[in-house]
Amino acid sequence: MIRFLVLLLLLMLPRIGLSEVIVNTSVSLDNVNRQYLLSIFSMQTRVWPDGQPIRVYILPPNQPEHRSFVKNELKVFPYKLVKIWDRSVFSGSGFSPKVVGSIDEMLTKIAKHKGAIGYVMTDIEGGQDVKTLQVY
Amino acid sequence: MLKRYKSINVSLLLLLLNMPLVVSADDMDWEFNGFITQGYIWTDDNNFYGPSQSGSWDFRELGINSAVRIHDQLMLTGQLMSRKAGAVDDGAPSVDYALLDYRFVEKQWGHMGVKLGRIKNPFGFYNATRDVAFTRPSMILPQSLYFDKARNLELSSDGGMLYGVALFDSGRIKSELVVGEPRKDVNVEYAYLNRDWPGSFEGSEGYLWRTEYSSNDYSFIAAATFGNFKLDFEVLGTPAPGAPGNGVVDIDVSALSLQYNFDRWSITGEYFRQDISWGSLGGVYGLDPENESESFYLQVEHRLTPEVSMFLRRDILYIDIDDRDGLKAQALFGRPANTQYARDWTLGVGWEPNRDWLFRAEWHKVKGTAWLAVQDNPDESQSAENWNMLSLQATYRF
Repeated sequence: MIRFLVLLLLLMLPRIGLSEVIVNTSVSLDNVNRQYLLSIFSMQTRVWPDGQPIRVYILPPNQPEHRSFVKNELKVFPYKLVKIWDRSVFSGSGFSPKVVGSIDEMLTKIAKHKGAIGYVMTDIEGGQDVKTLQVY
Repeated sequence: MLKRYKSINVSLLLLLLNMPLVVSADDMDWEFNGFITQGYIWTDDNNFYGPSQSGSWDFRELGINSAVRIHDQLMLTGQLMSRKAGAVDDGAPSVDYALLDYRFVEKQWGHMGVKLGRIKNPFGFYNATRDVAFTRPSMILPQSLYFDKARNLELSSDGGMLYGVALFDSGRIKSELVVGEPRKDVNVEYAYLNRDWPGSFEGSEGYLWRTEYSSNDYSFIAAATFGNFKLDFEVLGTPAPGAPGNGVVDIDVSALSLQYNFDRWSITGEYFRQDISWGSLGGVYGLDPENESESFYLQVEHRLTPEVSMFLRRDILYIDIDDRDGLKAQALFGRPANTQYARDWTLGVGWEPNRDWLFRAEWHKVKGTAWLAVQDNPDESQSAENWNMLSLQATYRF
């Protein structure tokens, strides 16, 4: 029984904390590399290659889901990303990401706004109005 | 020339403030940010940010900024700043930056753009946001490099910037070149000519070029900055004996910055060299027409939790690398030797209970007075070589 539980737990482990990148269906890209993705989420890249403005949505920076996304997908320390945003906003070099209160709100905003990008946990359903962006 | 830039900046700012307020945040990128910082300084000897020997509340920073995307690739942004710091800054509001930023290349391999207006000077790791408390690693930035006594020259320039970022598999390279007219005021005179002489710095021109490499995860960052400033000093009539006459102060700056970041630790070091030539001014400065100053610091920061961090820093400044102990300045000009160097140990703690608040406390143990402002310490013969400083700070952002 214990073995079974441990096995079950191990099977579940990779799913915990995994997130995927979602974009508005107007975004023409299907996959991006990690450097470019980090450049978008660190608010350094402002426009998609097809010319439409990028709008970045995040969960509150102190939430575990956000920290997990930043660590596992962007592969950068969450404190470093916050510093990059602050330095950019207060030196006249960029915008802040838009903070949403929940995954539901994230899905709604990204479905609605052209050029929007955000993330959801992989086990979240209901993303039919948004597009998944593959990261390589 | 300066007046023309000023009027451009004011009209940019007016345009920024008069944009219609009816757009929703999601349909248009338009945002406001701000912060207010209050400090308290106590010193056992010498004064920093006001009469600190009896405890000084004379340190306050207030900033409000806005950024708006006026076209897909065009951003308009500006910041108003008020800073009160002892006798150096009186708290009068000024335009910190006001600029148009046009991105003419945006690709997956990187981007390039140009900024026009009043632009923050990119220098070292912290200069561009030196007055914004939560972008600093400490309440008081290492004064050897980021000396607060000649701030204006370092803050921003009226002119243009060309910048670019290239993304690689291993990381990214960012390069910025600013060309323009650096801001200057009477404090720059205090810092480079040691007092407010008859006459003033009228024109100025300069450039700063900064290039930074950062590894993929920003665990390693290295930056190099090079620049030159030329400040025109103008005097009406004939200068008194010993006083500076018409001429140019020529300043070459170069800095190397390194940082390692780990989950809980950050190690930061910067080295700065400043070559100042004021031979053309004549006066007492003719005796010492060239001067090379040297500054460096090493800082270790530890994050105990995401909210609480501590740091230890050693920060060293030599005004003249040929006179590190200050004895030549003492013999030639009768200035106390301790005005020519400063060696500072700092221990600090920071607490960020949430994204809106930041509190800091720091203890400085300093030998030398090289980065103390003459404005706050008018009689340098009374300066104490060994002194201690306690600084406290609260910051709220909105």
